[in-house]
Amino acid sequence: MKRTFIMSGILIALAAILMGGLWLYADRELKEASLSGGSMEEYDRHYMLVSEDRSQQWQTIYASAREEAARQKVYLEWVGADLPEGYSASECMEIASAARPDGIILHPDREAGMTGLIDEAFEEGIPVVTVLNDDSASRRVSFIGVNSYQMGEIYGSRVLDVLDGASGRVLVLRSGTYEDNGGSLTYSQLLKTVETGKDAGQEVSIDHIEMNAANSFEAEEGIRDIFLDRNRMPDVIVCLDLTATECASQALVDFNEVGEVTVIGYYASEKVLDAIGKGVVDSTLKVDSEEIGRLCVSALDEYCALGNVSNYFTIGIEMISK
Amino acid sequence: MTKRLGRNSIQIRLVGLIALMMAIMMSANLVIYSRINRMVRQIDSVFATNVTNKELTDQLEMVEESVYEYLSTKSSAALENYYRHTQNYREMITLLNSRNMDSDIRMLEKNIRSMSETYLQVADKTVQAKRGRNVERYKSMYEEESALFRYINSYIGELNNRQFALNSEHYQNLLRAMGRMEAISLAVMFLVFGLCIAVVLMTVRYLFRPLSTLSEAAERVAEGHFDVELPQVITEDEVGVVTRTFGQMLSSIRDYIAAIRTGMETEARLKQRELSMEASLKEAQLQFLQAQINPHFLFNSLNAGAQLAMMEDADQTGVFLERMADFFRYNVKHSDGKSTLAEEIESVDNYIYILNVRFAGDITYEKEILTDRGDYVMPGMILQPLVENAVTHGIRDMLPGSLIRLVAEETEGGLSIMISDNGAGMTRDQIAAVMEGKGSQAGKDQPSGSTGIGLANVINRLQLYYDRSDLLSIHSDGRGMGTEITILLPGQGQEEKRVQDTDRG
Repeated sequence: MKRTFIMSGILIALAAILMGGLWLYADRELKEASLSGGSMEEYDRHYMLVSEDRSQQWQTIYASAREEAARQKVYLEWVGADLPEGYSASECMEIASAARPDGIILHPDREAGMTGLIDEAFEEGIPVVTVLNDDSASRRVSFIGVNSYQMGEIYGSRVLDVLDGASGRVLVLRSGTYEDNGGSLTYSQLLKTVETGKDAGQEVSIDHIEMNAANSFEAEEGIRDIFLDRNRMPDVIVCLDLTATECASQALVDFNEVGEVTVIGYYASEKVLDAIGKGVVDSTLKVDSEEIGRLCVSALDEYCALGNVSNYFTIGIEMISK
Repeated sequence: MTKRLGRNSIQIRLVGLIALMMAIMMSANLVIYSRINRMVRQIDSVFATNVTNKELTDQLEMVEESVYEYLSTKSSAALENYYRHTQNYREMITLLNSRNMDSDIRMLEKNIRSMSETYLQVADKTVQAKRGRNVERYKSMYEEESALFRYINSYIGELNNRQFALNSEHYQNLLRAMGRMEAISLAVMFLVFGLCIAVVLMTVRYLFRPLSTLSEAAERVAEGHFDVELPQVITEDEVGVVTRTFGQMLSSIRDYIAAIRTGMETEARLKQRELSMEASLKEAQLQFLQAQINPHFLFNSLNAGAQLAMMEDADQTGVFLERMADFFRYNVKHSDGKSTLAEEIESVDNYIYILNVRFAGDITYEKEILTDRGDYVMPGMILQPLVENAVTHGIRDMLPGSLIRLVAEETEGGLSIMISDNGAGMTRDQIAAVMEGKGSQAGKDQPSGSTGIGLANVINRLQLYYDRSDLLSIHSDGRGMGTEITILLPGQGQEEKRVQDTDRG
């Protein structure tokens, strides 16, 4: 009798366990189906990145910054990156100001009114740090970028190394996104370095072209124009941004001018490094974009925590060649 | 019965078992129904967020249109619409997320909410500027407000796209989960059903196991095996009651059969005893009849002779013939029945008289009757054969000087009759052989002149009559020391004497 009761009890308990298991399984299925939208971890702050430039360098900067932000319990988003409409940097800045984040990382362009937008954001209590391009006239709380003087010196020295005492023509491709004097400072320092460093009797003519690097088509067309006029063909092309570097290296291959024209590039993207390996590009300026990303978030964190932050963060640069 | 058995009743327990199984199956159904219903409701609500986004967009457009209308017309209706739509929109955006979370969709909601709040502030300022007739300001504010409207629309569109993608994925996940849930629910249902069946089988087998054992026992009883072992009564249910009652019935049947068997055995034993008695008596009669030649004719003739002797004054001859006639009459009369002590002694007296006439009075006969219970009923033809035996085997060869002694006395258990002689005597072996029914004295090889009833016959009849084997004892101190035979007649001898009239003459 006891055995029968024990066995019956065990079987009924088994049935109860089965039903309980089914209940838990269904709950887990529902939970898993609901969680497909991501976790619901709460963050402390919300930063926005505003940059019209979608180049690999900025992708790297954004990835690094987002990683650092997540580590600091900060949500970072790239304004307008996923919107179907192509908003300009100013419009993205307006969006960012209206969304009232805890901080904005801005890559300013040359559009008028950006300074005012930075100031308006600051007045709304939103600190803005500028990256790579500075807007020193605005009330941005900090700038993270390379030292333009140092950059000009490195480019100038490399030009002299490439010319190796010979005379030649140098063409500098400047990004059209420069509003402030950063690009100008680099260019002027390049001029100064070449002028003071060239050998006696060596004639180096340096010219420059400005192009809108944010628009790949415009830059690419402008560079091809250079190669179409063989009378104006330079001996050395110095690219001050990544787009110009990639376009110039491609044009060099297309016009079969590899070895004839030396390209000194900017940024060590995979394409550029590949071009250096193949001898298409002579050298390139390596900028630590990941550090830039980390510094952007750190600067805003520091400002949010302390109310002030260093006005200027310099990123280390170096020229790399084959 | 059910009421009396109460909770122990099989009916109640079966009903309880069925109710329990139904409850388990219903629970399983409820669990499955609840979970699947929840899934279905979740599937129904998957695209609810897209509907909400559409409503948000519509409401935002109404705000924008009301602002434009007011700026264009400055009508009270437009202003009223503006306030109403603004209020509605404000309420709607409170449903959006406002916290910083690790979710792109949630952060899109937060951006929309924050941008909408900014938008509403700008719209308010625009309306205020319009009411203040500050044309420049409200125009610039309207531009700013329109830009924000555009941005918000873009964000709501993006939110809608992302939520649609997410909802579609969610929908697919739910559909897959639903499919898995259906399969697992079916499996669980079957498993629970199987477990319930197992429980029912075990419980029913437990409940009806005593009944099965009882039916097997009943079949064996029907085959005649009344010694079957019945199942032990554990529970006081219907089966328990039937088992116990069946056991009692079986026990009664066994007792009844045992009683019948004992009765039959007793009857058979009695029958056998009666038959044996009858056979012994018949044998005695046969031997007696063989020993006489038409005793009726003989003792009638003897009587005629006695009368003739009396007529001729031959008195002794007359007496002799008369005693002869009495002797034979007694033999005929009591050869197959009972007699009394007095009749038996008289028969012995006659026999001795006849022998003394025959042997010229050489036999001394002493009789000592120490009891007045002459009417004691006893088997007939007992004493005379014993006296005849004493004469034949004891004193025949030592006449004269021989002595036959008969003593009758009362003892504690009845009457004691002792017949002794001073004749040849017996050895122990002879006594043992006689008591076992062997030897010449057992009645075989009767010498001539004997009445024909042997000692063995006497012993046998005494045993059959009294159902005891220790009533006759023989004592002798050895050869030439005489023999003493003692008969113990137990009881009071009150049985009514059956007198058979053997005198057919």
